[in-house]
Amino acid sequence: MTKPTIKTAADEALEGLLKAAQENLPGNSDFSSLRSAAVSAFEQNGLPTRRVEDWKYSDLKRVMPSDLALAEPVDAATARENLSGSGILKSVDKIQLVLVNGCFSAELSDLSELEDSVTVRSVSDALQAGDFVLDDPEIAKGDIALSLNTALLQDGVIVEIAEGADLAKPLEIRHVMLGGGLATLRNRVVIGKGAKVGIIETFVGDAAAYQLNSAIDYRIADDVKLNVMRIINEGDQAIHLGSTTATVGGNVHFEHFTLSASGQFVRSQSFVAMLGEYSDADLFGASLVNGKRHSDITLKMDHAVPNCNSKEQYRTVLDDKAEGVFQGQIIVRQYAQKTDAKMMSQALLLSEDASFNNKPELEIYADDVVCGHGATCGDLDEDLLFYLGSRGIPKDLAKKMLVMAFLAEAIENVSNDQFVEALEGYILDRLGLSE
Amino acid sequence: MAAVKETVDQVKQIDVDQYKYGFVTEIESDKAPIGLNEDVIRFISAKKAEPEWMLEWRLDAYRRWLTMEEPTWAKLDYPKPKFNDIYYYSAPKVAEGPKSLDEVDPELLRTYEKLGIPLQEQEILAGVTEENRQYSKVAVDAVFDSVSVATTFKEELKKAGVIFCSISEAIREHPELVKKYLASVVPVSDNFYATLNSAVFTDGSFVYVPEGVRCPMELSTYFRINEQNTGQFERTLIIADKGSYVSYLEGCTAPQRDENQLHAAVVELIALEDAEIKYSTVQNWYPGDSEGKGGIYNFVTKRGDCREKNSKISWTQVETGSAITWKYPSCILRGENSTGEFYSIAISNGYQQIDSGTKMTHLGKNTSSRIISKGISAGRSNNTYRGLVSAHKKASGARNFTQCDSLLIGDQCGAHTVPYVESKNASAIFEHEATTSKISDDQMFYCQARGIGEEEAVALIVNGFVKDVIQQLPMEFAVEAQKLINISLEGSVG
Repeated sequence: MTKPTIKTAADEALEGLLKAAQENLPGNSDFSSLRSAAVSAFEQNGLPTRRVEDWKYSDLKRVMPSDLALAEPVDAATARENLSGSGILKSVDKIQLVLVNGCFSAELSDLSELEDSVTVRSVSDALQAGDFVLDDPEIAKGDIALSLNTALLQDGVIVEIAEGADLAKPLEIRHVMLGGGLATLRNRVVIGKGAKVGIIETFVGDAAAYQLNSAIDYRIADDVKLNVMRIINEGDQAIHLGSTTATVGGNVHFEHFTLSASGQFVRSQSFVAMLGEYSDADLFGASLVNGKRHSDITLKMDHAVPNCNSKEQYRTVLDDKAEGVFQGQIIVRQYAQKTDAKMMSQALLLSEDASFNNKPELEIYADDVVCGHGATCGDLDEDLLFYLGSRGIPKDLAKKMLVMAFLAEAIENVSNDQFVEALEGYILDRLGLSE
Repeated sequence: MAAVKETVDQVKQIDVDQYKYGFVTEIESDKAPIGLNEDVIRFISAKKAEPEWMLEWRLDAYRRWLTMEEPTWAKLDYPKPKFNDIYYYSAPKVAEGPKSLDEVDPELLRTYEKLGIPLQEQEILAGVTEENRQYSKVAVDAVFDSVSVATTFKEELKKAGVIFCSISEAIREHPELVKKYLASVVPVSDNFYATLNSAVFTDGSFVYVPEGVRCPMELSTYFRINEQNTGQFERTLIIADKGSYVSYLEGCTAPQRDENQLHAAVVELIALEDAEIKYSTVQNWYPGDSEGKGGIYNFVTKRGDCREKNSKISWTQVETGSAITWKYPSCILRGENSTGEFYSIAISNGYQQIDSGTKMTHLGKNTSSRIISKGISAGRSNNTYRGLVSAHKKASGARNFTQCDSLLIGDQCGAHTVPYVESKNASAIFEHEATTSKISDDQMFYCQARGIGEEEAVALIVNGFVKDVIQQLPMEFAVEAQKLINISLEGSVG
């Protein structure tokens, strides 16, 4: 029952770009056929409208500009000038891998500081050599953002971490966008058995109207401890389509925190497949959305094997005319007995014109499970404001304190104290509470 | 755990195969030609002796329906009905409308007897003492296939000023009310099935409760799909004028068939200032056999409109039948301080598929709504709760509380929860919580430690699980609902 798609100028522009770009993109013939399949899928369906369930609350067709060009390469010197040392996690000691406008820059990265257990190479090299295979987990298949990513994939970084490695410093994959245009990249992080790893993904950019389609693919072997911090701090006019796919082995502890701090239109989607028993996945997030921004957190958690736990907890604060979206889905397959999955999404609306759409979903085929979800949305509690007011705290400050307290509950879940401190510092700054 | 294993086996044994209402009443019937076209609609309209405006209205709906597509978003998997292989009109042959029960075809009365429908049972159901009886009688507007054949207590209702009749009669006798309110809650082209219903509806109930009147009895309709290959398209319209109150009961059973039968009803409720409507449903249509063959397709559009301030609409449903259920009784909370409620028990067994829930649309200030949904899945069934709670810009102070709990019996079934919560107003406070689990070992252990047998313990826990909703049912119905839950999960509930 496919209706003919009505193509908008944005559809046409992107379609033109997809076709024109194909010649110059890296990859052997196998990969090219994947690309052309993605291109023809786009030709048929175009950008998702709000009638497409997964994009019901995020109207990509509306925000996509009709004058789209690929981002120009930037030389290292220019990039370095724009790469200020600041950032939300500036206080955290880390090793940086830098991608500018979607391309990996060895020159800007701290490759010399890497431990022996870590190897890094670029996706474009791997594509040329023909050893970059895409195999997304089942739940991510057919996703439009990932399909566009495949069609236009330029580069990215592949990080391989050896079995048993215990990294002293977290690795930061820093994505920088300069001068506008569209960039498409995909990273892969392969973690060997028993390794202990911290990864920071940072997204920053200038004030130009740019668009980033970024994907990261975590392959997590058994007994791994992985902490991921995902900091979306894009420029004011940015469209950010960020996808995370993760396949999780047995006895793993996987912690994933997303901060959606800025960007005009942000869609951060995660597809996590639990494939080994006795693993825990904790997915948390905090979103601060103001102005006319749109922030969408989409999450699909697939429990395919028994005895795993997952916790999803997201908090969103909306001000001005901001729009917030949370779509979370927990799937428990028939054999995934003894699953314990809990999802919670809470939103705080600070202004009359802000709106929030919440869709926490459970799809359960196993009987011996404990699954639950909760969702709340509302404004600040008058009683709490009154309480603080009665103790001489001005209303404005009281409001900020309550917002801070609301977000702090999400942040406290992060196990690394350094990260917690840095995140809380950032939010205090943003609320104008830091002294 | 042994008890659960046993329960599953027992449920398997008794489940849908033993559908006790699987019989066919042999009454000569009067049918429209098979299939759907403008002539069939003219035929139905003529049979109903409808005025010209009604025919035009139907034809307009039909033309719109031709341009529409069947919705596919629900979590349901079924062969699409062949709309041209259905009889859209089938009526028992009765020369003239009976004036009392004595005139009703005795075959029909026997059918009701088999169903345990309270045409005779009313008094027993209604209450204990003689003097109270007249206040708790149940008036039955029985729909046998497509035509109302018995309407009781009409006189008594007339005294109170309440109009309770079939929709066809209302079209003839009260056109001003029908014209004013029909399709004012569910627009003609609201959705595929509602539009189809608008074109071909054959009967249903009409209730008008005048200003300030508290309806003296619970109103009730029993639906029964009888003739083979007959779609049942009933249309119900209930209007509660200012300050009035009415409680309406709807219950359904159908005989056993191999072919899937289509049912697409539309129910519209309108509550004006300070009025309250309570609508309760027990649905127990044929769910198909143990291989998932046959069974009723139930695509229902039910919507209530709290049109003026301080009004209240409350939906209570017990869904145990039908092969496919697609049903979302909703409330539009337009008036200030209006209240919407939805209480549901959905039990699926065998190969049944249920996609049901509600929509609470908060438009007015200080509106509140409450959703309690209890899903029980057994066998190879899939049971989905799909709900929408939304607050529009002007709905300051809106409040919602939603609780959806699912209970799984056996590892071949599925329970799903798909809530949508949309807020465009900062002062709207929405809370949603959902849980899915099986009967826990701890609960069983606790009961057994107190000397309660395994089976009794399961019964106790299931009863406790659905208690919140059973309590909302009118007394006359609670008895039947309890019976149905026992039948649906017999073996586990004693």
